[in-house]
Amino acid sequence: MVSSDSNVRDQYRLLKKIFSKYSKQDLNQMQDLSNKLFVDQGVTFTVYNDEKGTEKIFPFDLFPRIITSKEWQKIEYGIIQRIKAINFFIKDVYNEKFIIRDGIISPNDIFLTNNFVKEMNSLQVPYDIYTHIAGVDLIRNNDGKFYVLEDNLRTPSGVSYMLENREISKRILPGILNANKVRSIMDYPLKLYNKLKSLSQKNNPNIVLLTPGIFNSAYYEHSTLARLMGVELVEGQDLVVKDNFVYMKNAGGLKRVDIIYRRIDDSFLDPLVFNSQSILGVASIMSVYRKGNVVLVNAPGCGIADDKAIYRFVPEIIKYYLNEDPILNNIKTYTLSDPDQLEYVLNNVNDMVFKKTDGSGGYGMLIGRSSTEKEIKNYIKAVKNNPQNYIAQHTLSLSTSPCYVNEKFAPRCIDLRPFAIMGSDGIEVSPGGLTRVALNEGSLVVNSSQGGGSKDTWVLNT
Amino acid sequence: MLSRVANNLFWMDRYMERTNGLLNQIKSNYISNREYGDSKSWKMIFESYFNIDEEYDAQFTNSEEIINYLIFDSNSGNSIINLVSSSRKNCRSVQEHVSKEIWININKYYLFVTSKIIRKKSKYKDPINLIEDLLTYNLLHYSNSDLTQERGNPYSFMNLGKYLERLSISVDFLLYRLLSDKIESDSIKENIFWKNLLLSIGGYQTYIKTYKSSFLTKNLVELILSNPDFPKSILYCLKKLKHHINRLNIFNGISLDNDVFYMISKLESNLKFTKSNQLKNDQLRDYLEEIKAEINSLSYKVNKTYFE
Repeated sequence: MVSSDSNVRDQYRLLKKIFSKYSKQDLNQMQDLSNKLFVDQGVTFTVYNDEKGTEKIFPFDLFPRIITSKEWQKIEYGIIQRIKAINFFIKDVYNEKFIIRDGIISPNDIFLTNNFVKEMNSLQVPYDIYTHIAGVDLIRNNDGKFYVLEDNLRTPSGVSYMLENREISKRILPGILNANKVRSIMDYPLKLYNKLKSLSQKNNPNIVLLTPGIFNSAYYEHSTLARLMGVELVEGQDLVVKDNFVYMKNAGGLKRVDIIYRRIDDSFLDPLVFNSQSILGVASIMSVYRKGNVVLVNAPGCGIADDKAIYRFVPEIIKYYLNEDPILNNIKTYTLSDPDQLEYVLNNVNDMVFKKTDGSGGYGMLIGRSSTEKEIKNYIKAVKNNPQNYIAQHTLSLSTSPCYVNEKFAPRCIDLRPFAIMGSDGIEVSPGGLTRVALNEGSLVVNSSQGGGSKDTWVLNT
Repeated sequence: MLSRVANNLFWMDRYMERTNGLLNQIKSNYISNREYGDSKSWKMIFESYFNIDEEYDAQFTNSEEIINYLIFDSNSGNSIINLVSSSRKNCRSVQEHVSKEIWININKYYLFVTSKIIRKKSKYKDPINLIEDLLTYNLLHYSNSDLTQERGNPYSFMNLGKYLERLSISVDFLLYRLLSDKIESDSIKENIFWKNLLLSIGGYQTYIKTYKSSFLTKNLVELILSNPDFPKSILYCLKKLKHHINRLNIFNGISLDNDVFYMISKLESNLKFTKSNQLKNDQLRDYLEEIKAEINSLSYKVNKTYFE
């Protein structure tokens, strides 16, 4: 919010004026109202510590995060460039494999990971699009620039919170959105529906959203998206493969399904091909997919590109397929299978963050400066045992934003996850996205399962 | 519409209807206990809702404890807390098919009944206040369904569940309540008994208008079996069921001339052409048991036709 010379940046002036008029009581009331709106509407995710599970809300912070239209333009173009290149990469990896033949990436980095889905080899997908829906995690470092932290190309989530946060802001800050000329995001579901529709040759394809069910922690999002797009929400048990097509079991008989937006991991998709113990998927769906009789969104096998090991090659990927310099840069990442890099990293543990290449949700990582000696020792042991399973990055100074915590405003670290959708007519990025907050003081961990919250994100029109 | 979704909508409303019926029974039973001054048996409730035959209420020391059990016991399938949780679970699975108002109300109902605050004795000294607050959510559900739910497939499946449950409740009421309760010979107590009985099924005003104040078993039987204007009567429920089955068959492309339709029509004729007010006690009991059995078969047939 504040620039390096300690003045409130232009875009926040109006907001500061408005907020400074509110008393503590007003702010508490606004906070309570937002919590109540979330709980009443059932905008919850379930945490399973016991059999029943507790429903929690993803904490919402009242103070919006603002991005200027100039800052946004760079982010938008950067993400479009990145997704375009990554999509070419995935196609290449499952077909000619030119990037490997030209020595840019070694075969080990592709074939030895769990994320390479061999069933996708030579499988033709509509319009050659694999990453229809992507969430790219960005942070702003202490040089004021945005960097890409991570790509999420499999089943990225958070869109429903982005939409819900905007609805709540409209309730608790009436009129302010107009005054600030904030770009609307409410047409995201319609845009998504149209992009999905563009993948089929039919005029009126039957599109469904495949969910693991009510016990999945992101169920609220599946249900909301299905409702806002006007498509049927189905579970694996509602679908059946017959005569090389996928059908849904309706009360009056079977109805053909053309496009499936699936929020189920690759490994649970088809028990005949992947994990045979899965009851979430549909048996034989891959054979229908191979025949081209159903479209799967996102395509299986995208995990090969959001692997933390491939992350460090993305700048080269952009250069190789698009012949352009990356608009958005990566964070400098150390490859620990390289002994020199490993040595450097071990000598500077307190300045480093370690991550497992196949980890997610903030688990399996170590932040050097906030860990005990014993924790570090144990972690390093695991790293030395299997160095190619780990990467390291310098601890970042994430940008902060004022958050209303414990009845006063205090800085907390934030990140940004814009969402990009790709159809036969190109890539679109929703203005803003989800801003996640690390609610614990001094923490850098923003994930929902580990004490994270979110804010409404505004991209200005001018 | 997916069979699973249809099933969830059906049960969402069935559970809500059951909750409404049970709460009204509890309320009237408690009031009649207070008026009589002695601990009247809660047998009917335990028998029809919990399938328990023996003198279950003997283990509780007073009515308040029984009410606490009936509302809050998490182990029994038909306690209010479990019924509302089940209804909410079903609703959550089909959120996209019901209006937002319906979902929010059921969710709030669930949050209310599972909150720790309402169990505090200080909040609800009189159980009637708690029951009335709970019933408010049921009433809101009826109005939400009426006003905000569009008249499509989901609406008809909801009504299928609602009216089937109401049928079961009404027939059970006649079998367990009316024919089992010993009516007091004292005329004042007798009137209080009838009034509470009628209030528990929501039929007090209709009865008075139709039969004036002569309380007779045969009149009550006629009211609940075949009064076409009483919303809880079996004939009324059957009419509504027929209407919704017709719509469902059209929406889902099912033959109009199926078993479910046939069974409902048969039951309807049976009711229309039997002079129930001329049946003696034993004959009446047999007749009611026969109707109950037919309603059970109807439930089974509905399940087979739409949900499998």
